[in-house]
Amino acid sequence: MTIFQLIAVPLAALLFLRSGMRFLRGDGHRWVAALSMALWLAAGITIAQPDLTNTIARFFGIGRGADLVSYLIALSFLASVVYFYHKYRKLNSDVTEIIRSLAIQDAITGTPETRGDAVHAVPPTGTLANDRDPTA
Amino acid sequence: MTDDPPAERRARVFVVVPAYNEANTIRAVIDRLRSMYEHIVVIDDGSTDEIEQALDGAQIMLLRHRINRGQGAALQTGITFALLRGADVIVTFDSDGQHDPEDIEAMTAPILNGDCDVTLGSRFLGHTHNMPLGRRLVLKAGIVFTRLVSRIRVTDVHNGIRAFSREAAESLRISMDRMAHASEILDQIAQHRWRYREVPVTIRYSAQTLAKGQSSWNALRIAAQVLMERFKP
Repeated sequence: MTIFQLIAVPLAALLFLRSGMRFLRGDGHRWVAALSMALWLAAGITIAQPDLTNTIARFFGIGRGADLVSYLIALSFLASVVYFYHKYRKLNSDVTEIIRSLAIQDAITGTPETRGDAVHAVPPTGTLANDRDPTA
Repeated sequence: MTDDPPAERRARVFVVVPAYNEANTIRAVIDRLRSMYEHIVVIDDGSTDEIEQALDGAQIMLLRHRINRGQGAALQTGITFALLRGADVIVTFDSDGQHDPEDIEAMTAPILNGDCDVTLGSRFLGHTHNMPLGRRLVLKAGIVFTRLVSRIRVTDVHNGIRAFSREAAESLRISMDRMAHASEILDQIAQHRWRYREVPVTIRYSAQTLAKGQSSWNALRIAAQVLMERFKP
């Protein structure tokens, strides 16, 4: 075993166990933990047995194991982009919800900034905080 | 319903105007709208210019996003607020002066009459002034894209003037904060099977509207966002 294998294989095993614990505890999405387990398991096995990637690559008609790994990395990158895009969208959406709630709350109840004389609001019912008569 | 006097019909309409750094144009737009409609909701989307001073004494309902969130976000805020204030029909209207307030009557009439749930302004059924060729080509490409992706047949896309019945507006959820919201609205019309109708409208392009409006390249970004929404994990 090479020095790299001596370091990387136990590390992959530890990360596999960590993901396994998350899967069992049900932290976050279970499918993310399962995917993570599969990833670390595959990483550990292929680092320990590098020739295995060549065998799998030949089975799929790719030729070299290194090519198979680079294709998988490219696919993983695309999947990560989609995943993080939706994470980003969710975060943005949450921020917008807060800003929206504040805007509506400010208009109804008023804050020092929104109670200025600048705008006269004419609600159909009730009174808005920024409801001021400009002629007053 | 159709026999209501025009003033009563207009009193049921709320016009939602999202605005971002439109201090130079918004007052003229609002004054024209206000001369025709009682309920105008302006959403200042975190502007950094003097928009509040420009609206001084304008007799509108003004909401402020503390930070800029995009036109889609501002529209949803305005629509939510208009529903809270009892709107029967909600019209979305751009603040840069490209729309004609006279078109609102034709946009709202089919909804007030109960003939449809949503009306969409179409510049290609109506008129355009000073429309650049590049913009026309991008919009035509957008129409084809919308037919393929959203499965809805329209003659115009990304036209800011639309009208919604209260029921449709209550179900509408704009989650695309920026300009892709226009495609999202078309998606939801198709998904909810709302009865929609296109109405001829007039769009006037000026140097200012073109400078502030979307760049043609932005259309590619919007298309990418619309496609990414279809790959939700």
